[in-house]
Amino acid sequence: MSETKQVELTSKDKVSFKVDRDVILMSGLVKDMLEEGDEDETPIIPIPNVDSKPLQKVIEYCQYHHKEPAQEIEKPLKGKIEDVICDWDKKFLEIDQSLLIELIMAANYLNIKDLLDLTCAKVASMIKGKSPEQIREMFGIENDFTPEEEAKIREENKWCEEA
Amino acid sequence: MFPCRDELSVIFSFLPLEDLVNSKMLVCKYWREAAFGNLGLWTALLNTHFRWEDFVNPMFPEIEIELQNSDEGLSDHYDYLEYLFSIIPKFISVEERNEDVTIVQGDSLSLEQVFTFSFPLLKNTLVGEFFEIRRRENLMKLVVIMTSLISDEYRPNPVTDQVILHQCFWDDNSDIVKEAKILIPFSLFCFIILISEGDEWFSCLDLLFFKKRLNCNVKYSKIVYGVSPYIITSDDDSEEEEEETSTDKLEQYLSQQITPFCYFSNLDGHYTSQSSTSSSWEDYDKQMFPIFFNAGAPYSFYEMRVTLNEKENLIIVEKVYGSGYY
Repeated sequence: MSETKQVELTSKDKVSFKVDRDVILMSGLVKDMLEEGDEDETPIIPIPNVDSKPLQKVIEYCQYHHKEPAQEIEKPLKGKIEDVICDWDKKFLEIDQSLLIELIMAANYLNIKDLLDLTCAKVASMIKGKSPEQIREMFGIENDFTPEEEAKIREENKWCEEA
Repeated sequence: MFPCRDELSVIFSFLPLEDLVNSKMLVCKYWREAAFGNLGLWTALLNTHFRWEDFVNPMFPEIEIELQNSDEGLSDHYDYLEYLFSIIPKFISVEERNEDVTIVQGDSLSLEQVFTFSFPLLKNTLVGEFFEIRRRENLMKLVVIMTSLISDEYRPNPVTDQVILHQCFWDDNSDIVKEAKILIPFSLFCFIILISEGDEWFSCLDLLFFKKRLNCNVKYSKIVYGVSPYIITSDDDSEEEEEETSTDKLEQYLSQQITPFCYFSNLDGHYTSQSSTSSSWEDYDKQMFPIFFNAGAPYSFYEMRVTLNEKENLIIVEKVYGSGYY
């Protein structure tokens, strides 16, 4: 029985994960790195921008979706994201907000389009229809507009409200 | 810690365009920049309606438009993008036009050459409340205008460029035709037309000119819009100048007589339903070059014809060149 080739990923906080090569090929970044390396060795690939917690989630996603390709998510979202994704993805997204943001950045860095779409669509679903104040509170974003600037933008934006 | 502008663009691409404009721009300056650069709007427009990767420009087949290979192509233009709403509207001028605006009616027309532009749509573009019949007309109108612009030698870069929007109106006080111009990002122009209900885009565009007309105390009627690309020559591009001088130069450039590439109004077409599965809409916009007003002279023109094929999710625009004898 032939042994499955593996790759070792090392996170920013120096935690190592062994993962099947076929699985992690979903990452455009890893795929490019593997193409440059030696085929016979078990390569160790440092992922210096991603902590172990989001990296573990990324691997979990790849392990499921390399066999079950993700369905394309509609743009723009007409309803909630839960209405258009599979049960596994719903469960996968049951994470706290900070991990969700870390996952977005990890997906972008590792170039995993389907995961980036899924996580970004989740955030879009969370902020859809929300006021600027609610979004600021949700993500702890500071309002750096002066009252005058904000009033000016609202004034400039009237044309759109009337559309 | 929050996603970078690339990641925000992906998030915004899942939001309805109206939501993007009405609320997300007020969160903070960073969000505003990400949402309302040409990039943000184009990403949203493209993701919502068009499959640009399948689009081929038959007039310039050798040149790939910048939106193809979008991820890399779009990111390369970040440096050009400024805050959308800080640069609009730049009111340039209200000036008299001396030209006769009579529409020349030719006879003995002969059609010589037809270029067909095929705009593949995303499969869900025509589905749902958003694309009821009146909005389909807007989509087709937009596609015609875009075709006019991109099929010309001086077509604008949809990612980075702005276009000059002309408003030609009849000044009721002096009984003459006047023209006002503003500089507006190409994406915003498309956006206004696309998000409006039926003819409401007309009043949205009118709002952009409102302040200027107030200053001039003009009573007006019979509005026609025109659009033309904002062409920056290599000379303009190469010189590094103070911001003030650049602004002067820009205004000087825009105050020159620029002929719109495409005129349009809320009356320049009609919509007919041909069958339950396909519809067509014709645009009567004609461009004539050169125009001879003396009788007995030949002239050439082109007109744009647009058809929506719902079955195949396609909008087809034909640019038909012809000639006539007046």
